[in-house]
Amino acid sequence: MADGMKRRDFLKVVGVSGAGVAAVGCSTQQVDRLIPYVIPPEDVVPGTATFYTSTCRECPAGCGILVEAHEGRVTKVEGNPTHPVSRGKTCARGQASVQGLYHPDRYAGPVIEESDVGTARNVSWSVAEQQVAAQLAAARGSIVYLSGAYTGTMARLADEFAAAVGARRVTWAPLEDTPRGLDFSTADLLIAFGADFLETWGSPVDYAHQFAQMHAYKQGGVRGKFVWVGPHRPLTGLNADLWLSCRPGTEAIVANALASGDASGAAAAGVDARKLQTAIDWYRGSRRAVALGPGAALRSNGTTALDAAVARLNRGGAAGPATRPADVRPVVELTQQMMAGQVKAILIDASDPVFTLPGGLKFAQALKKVPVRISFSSFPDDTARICNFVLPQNHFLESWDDYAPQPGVLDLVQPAMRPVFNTRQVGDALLSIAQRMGATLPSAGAAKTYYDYLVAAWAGSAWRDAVKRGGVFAGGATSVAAPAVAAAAATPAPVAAVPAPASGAPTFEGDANGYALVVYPSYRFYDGRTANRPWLLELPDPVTKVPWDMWVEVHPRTAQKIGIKQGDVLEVKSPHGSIELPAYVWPGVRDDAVAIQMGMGHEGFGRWTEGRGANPMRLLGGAVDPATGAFVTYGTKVTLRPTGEGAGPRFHGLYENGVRIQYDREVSQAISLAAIQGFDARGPGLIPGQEEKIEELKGNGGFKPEETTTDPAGGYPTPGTEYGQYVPGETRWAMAVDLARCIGCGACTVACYAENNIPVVGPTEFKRGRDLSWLRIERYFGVGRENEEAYTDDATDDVRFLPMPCQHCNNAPCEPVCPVYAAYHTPDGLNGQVYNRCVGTRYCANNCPYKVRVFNWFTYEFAEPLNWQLNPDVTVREKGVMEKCTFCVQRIHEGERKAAAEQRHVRDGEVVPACVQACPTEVFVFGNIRDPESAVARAATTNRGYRALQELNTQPAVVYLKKVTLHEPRNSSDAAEATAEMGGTEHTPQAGAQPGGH
Amino acid sequence: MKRVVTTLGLALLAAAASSCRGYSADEGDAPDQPIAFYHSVHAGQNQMPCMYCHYTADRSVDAGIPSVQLCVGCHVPGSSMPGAVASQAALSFPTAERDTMWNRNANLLVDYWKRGEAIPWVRIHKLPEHAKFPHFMHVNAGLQCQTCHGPVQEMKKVYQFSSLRMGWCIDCHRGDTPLSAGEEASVQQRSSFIRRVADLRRGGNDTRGVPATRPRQRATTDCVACHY
Amino acid sequence: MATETPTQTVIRSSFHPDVENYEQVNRDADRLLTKPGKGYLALLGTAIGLVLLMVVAELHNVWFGLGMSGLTNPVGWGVYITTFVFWVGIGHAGTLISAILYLFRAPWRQSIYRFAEAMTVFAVLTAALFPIIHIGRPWFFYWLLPLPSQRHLWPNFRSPLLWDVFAVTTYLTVSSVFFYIGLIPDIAAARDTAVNPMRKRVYTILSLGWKGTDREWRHFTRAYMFLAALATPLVLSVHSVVSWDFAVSIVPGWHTTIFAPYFVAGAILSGVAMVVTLMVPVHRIFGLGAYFTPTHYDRLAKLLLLTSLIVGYAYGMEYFMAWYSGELFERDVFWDRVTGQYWWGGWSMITFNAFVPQLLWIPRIRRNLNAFFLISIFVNIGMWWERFVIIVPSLAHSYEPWKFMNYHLTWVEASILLGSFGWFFMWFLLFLRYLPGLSIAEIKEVLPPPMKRHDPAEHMEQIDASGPAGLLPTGYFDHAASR
Repeated sequence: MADGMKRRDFLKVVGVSGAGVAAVGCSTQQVDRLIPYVIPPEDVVPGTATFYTSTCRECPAGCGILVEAHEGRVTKVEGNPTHPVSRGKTCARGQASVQGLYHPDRYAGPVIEESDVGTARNVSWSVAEQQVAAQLAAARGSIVYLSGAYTGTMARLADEFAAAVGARRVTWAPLEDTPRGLDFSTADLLIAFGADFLETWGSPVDYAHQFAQMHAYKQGGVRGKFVWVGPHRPLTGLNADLWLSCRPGTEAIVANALASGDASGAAAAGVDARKLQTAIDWYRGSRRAVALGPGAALRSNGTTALDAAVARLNRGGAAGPATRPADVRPVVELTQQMMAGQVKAILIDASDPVFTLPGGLKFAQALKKVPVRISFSSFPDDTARICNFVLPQNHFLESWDDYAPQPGVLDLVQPAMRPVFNTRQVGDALLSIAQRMGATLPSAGAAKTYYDYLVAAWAGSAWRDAVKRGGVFAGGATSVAAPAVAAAAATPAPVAAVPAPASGAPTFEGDANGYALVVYPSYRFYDGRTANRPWLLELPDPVTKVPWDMWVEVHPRTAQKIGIKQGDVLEVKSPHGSIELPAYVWPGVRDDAVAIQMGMGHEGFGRWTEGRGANPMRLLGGAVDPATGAFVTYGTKVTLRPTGEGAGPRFHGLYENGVRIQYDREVSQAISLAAIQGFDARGPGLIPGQEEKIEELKGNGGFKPEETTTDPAGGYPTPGTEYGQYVPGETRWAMAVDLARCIGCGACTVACYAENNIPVVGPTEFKRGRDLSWLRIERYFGVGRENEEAYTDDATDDVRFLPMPCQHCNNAPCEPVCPVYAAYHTPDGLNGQVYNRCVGTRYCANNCPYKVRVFNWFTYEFAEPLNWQLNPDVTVREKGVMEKCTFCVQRIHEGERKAAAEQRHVRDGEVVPACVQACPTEVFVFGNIRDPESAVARAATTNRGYRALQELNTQPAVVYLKKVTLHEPRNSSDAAEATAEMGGTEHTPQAGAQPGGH
Repeated sequence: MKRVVTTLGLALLAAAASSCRGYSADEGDAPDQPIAFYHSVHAGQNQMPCMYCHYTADRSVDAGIPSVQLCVGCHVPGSSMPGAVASQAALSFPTAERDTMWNRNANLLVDYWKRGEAIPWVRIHKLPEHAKFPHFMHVNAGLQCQTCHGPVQEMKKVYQFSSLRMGWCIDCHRGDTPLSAGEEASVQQRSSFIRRVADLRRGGNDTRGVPATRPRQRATTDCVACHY
Repeated sequence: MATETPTQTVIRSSFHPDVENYEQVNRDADRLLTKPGKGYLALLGTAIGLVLLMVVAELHNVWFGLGMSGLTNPVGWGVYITTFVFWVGIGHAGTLISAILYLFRAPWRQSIYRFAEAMTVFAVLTAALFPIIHIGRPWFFYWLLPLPSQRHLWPNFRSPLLWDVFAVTTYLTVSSVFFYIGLIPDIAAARDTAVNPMRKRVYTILSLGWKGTDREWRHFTRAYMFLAALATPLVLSVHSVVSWDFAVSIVPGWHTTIFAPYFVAGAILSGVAMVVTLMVPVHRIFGLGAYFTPTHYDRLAKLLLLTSLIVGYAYGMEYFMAWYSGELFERDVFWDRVTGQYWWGGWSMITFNAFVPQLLWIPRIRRNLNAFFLISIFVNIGMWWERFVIIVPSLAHSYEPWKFMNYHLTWVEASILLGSFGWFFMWFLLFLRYLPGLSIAEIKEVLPPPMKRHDPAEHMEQIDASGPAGLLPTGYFDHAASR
């Protein structure tokens, strides 16, 4: 395998896959060349994808992944099903990692900036390394190696290198010091203090899965509750059943109130007493309560009290060992020394410190005072731009490494293709630099490359098996002896449960009657390291639904007070600096606080990111919490000043995708826990509340709507709608979408972009409503008619996330209107779309009630080399063509061909569309609904099933399962009313199920 | 005025038609290849099975193009043995010094091998990328390579034998194109489509609905089967 | 016997009291064909300029893609389809006047039907551009035509768009044939008077060697009547089919049974309005008062009034059903039409089409050329907005709330809209100068024939009595006027 890897040659391969992909329709005459291999790699079958196990390094979670490569060309990343962290799932960042690999703005090779000339020069690696070696030799003794949180072999190499060249190691790994490997899947109450565990905190994919385990509705099972404590609601907070929004700095009071069961503190914390009481009741009634936090956004200068209180809240078994945030004092000291000119040379392999460090530290200025500045960044980010040596490193999909995200897990990072650009991984560079300096690393031995070093370190122990499985996991199927390096694994280091010396209540600097500033990590951009991936920019923020932009969240009352409306630009001013951002007005943030997301406002970092948004870290002073040694992110008050700049001309300024309320459309439905339990007690098979309607319709001589049954056999084909040649006994592909599991993260959307070659249209076109997403996540605050509903304080208490793919209707309105049969029905029930037949009348899109058909208004660019990522199994569409979700028909065909070759039928669960594959909470179930035993049929026939806009009798193949709320869902359909009375009659709602004054 | 309309119409049709020419080398044309490789010698005289070189035709979408290594494997014996140095490779038989057309071309091959370069063959059979053609499904159904590619074993220069246009595919899928008795037999037995329909019939289902099931239908004519 | 001089009773047609005799008709008809003045050239130049503008804009659409228009995901149809429906609608009045009124023996059509018919042909010619302009890949337009191909593929006959293709092409063919047949005798007349040899040659070809023999006339009148009979149903069918583009879909605001009659009425309304819009200037410029008499305007006004009432009723009905059905989506859409982003479009449609024409109840207004002309302009604008308001807000607020998104027109669409007018007027102006705009033959039919006999009245009565009336061309004679 390893050898195959070395011999895999990208360039000689392109030709075999038919020169990549061409546009729909007629291509002009061209002389094509068939380029064979010189020597064929044994693990590549031309025209067939090869999968390599590896590990995602976009964030420290260390999810095991399978990398799909076509002829040595990475096209997609998927979760590794056997991996304990990812369980075969991924997040949006993981899906977008391939765009980091193929990003056109990566350094093409080493760059040297002559300080005297002041111009950048592209040089060969030998030259660059030679010069760096010389410089380091000169600076010996006052060299600093600023790195991220290395583990395993890389940590060892870095230490040895530092020792050999006389350098000091300092670590700066923003947001990476949050606990991983916690286990709360069996908890029945979750209390999170600003811990955004569905986005960045700890191990998002793992935690999202666990959250679904404990929080989703399971027939006959326990439906856990989730309380969110914090000044605003990020995505994780929006998924909470109850939001205790307390005055900034009083989180500890709330925690103690919960623990002690005494709500008298509510006034002091400014919490709604009834909500606090509800939370206390839940806590009392809970079997196993797990408290998480404080999150990175809540790090004040008085966290000790909070830490202690949170620790006390754990009941019935803590989720894991208590951890302490990383001590950043070394970084602060380093900055001071640099400022004082005591550092001669610095090597930087950390997450863009100039961008991610608090502005108060003035790291950029300090860095400029260091004569020799070496960056290993592969992007011209804010740090690399002011370094005079850039040794661009490989993307992790091009690198060998091992990584220990959490105790008991040692991942292996394996390259799936040759480097796209002239880059080297840091390990190789270090070895060669050390060698050029004549320094010897104790355990390097004969190792010329980091690969050799790595294999040597593993000493063969479990190497081949680890390469196959993607690492060594304690308690794995075949438990392997973990190699020596695994010892150096556990990060962050667990600390004794004894709380550190108590410091007082948190204090806030800045204007006393200003607004508390909340700087929270971004689900899409983490600390900003993934902010240049077009897919992630195009994916609207899961909460605000703003694509391609950054904002400052203000409460409607605040907005009223300072007289602004959504989109008006605000100047946010702190003692340390000020930034300008458009306002996003919503009730998900307290009226005495404002929230800003990290991750945007880069000065460099590529064409799609430069100068976009603003960087909130500029507003922070860089003070350190004496107790924990962590940066204080939650200790600043800011003032707001409207700059008078409004939303600007049409298609400019802040754009919020979609709408906030459903205008009574009821596309996203919910049902109360009591009611659904009542129905489940009566047995499966009918949609709650519909039977009355049917009787009524019959009474009036009306027809019996077929669509009110989700019985897999029924309604396919609907009597009288038998066009599209249905055959009884044929397969009928269908999908069940469980809204009770959906957390709205959008991993499915990005996976869809990756699998189906969906182009990115950019901000302006997006604002015109021309985004090409085949699967969008809709987010509704309210369900009524009045838009004001979305601005009331409790608007965010019942948020509905709704994944909307093509519904593949049996009775599809789009099909009969297409004049050329480009849209038609396949015999296995798909709603086929033949791109190369489409002439682009757009009638199908007009007639689609779900508006899931998207049109290619232009022929969109895939900037070289982003086009290397294109999936050869899917046609790339040209201008003037309609497209839409196909249920990943290419994968269906793959499955069917496999089955045909083995002379059998397709097995249930054998065909897995990209969205289904990616979803960390297993929202989607896909399969043949004509087979009563299939998972999808069983899911679809539960009492929660309904079809979007079912009154139109379009007979969708997508069956939604209603979201389950603890309280009665707000102004819901007659169905819910019916359930209400039923729930009332047959089931008494459980205690304290009425929070938020409903 | 009607004249205007008709001219407009004609111009439009002409433009449309011209914009729609030639996905590939047109039928029957046989371009020069970088090496005068004679299929007639390899597949014809020497009776080599097609899949000795086109090695993935029965397990992948692509038929596969032989690697240079595979060529020299025969022409330069021992070239791929461990320790063999490509740069010293030399043509060994029948007699390297004789200047024959065969030798000249064989030496071209050896040069490619020495330089470690791939041979840039000119592509003859090419479908547009919006039409997917899985070789293995057809090979496994028992179709002979010659049925679509023509009598390659007699070709000195390979030319495009079939039109590769959609109607040509459809005709065969519908069963309108005659196949050799042997092929027809194995297709009837192995075609996944025919088996599916048979299953349905066995299940007592009414199969009139299966798209375009004609009496001699061999394979699906569902658009999305090839266009996606 | 003493010979008495015949009593010179001058007899005039009640429709054209100012026309003295056949010679005058020939003179006036020829006057239209004389050398064009500067004003005319200026107009023609502007029209052609607009056409060039349209070509440039359309090239943008083809080269860069339809993104150059303001269309977006929920609003897939906008100005292009609006303008298409608008021009198809305009087309109707021509056929109505020339064919239906012919069959109904409405004598007042003679002098105006030629303009109306020309307008029809050119309007449909304009409309025919838009199905091609509005599709995403116009170079594949021919896939909409049922042409046999090696792919074994045919178009989808269930799609209303395909019905459109057939409806419009049929209408274009029939109306242009009808137009041409009617022209033959007049072209022959023009041929005989033409001096310019080039013109003479062209007319000679076009007139198909018409000599005006009795036999020719008999065939001519038959052919003319059959074509009229053929064209009449098309007046109703074409716009019904066009309306089904919308009615067959499930989009709220489109999915209505009232659409076919509603669209036909609207079409005639807009058509008649356009006739007036064209007639008045021609009347003024060429001083054709003798042929476009108050009677004509009066009748046209009444036609306009009638159709405007029907359209007004349809508007009311739509809103009533939206309210009465209690259908959420329907209600929202209709509410959005008059309160949403395009509220002014909605209101101008209602005002201009339903209310403004009511002024024509007043005889003084409908006889006043300026007022009538103004009203007709209003109706034209209103009818364009009607189509726009039906198409855009319905799409912008259909079922899926997440995709409520409105539409803003771009310079490309604006230029193509203007260009369509340029295209139409280019043809019309050329027609004015190169083909007889007055139907010489048929106007003569309603004039008293020059007689040697002293009492033409009797003679006429004999003619009237003799032969089945059906075979007569539209010869009428007002006896009242002759006494």
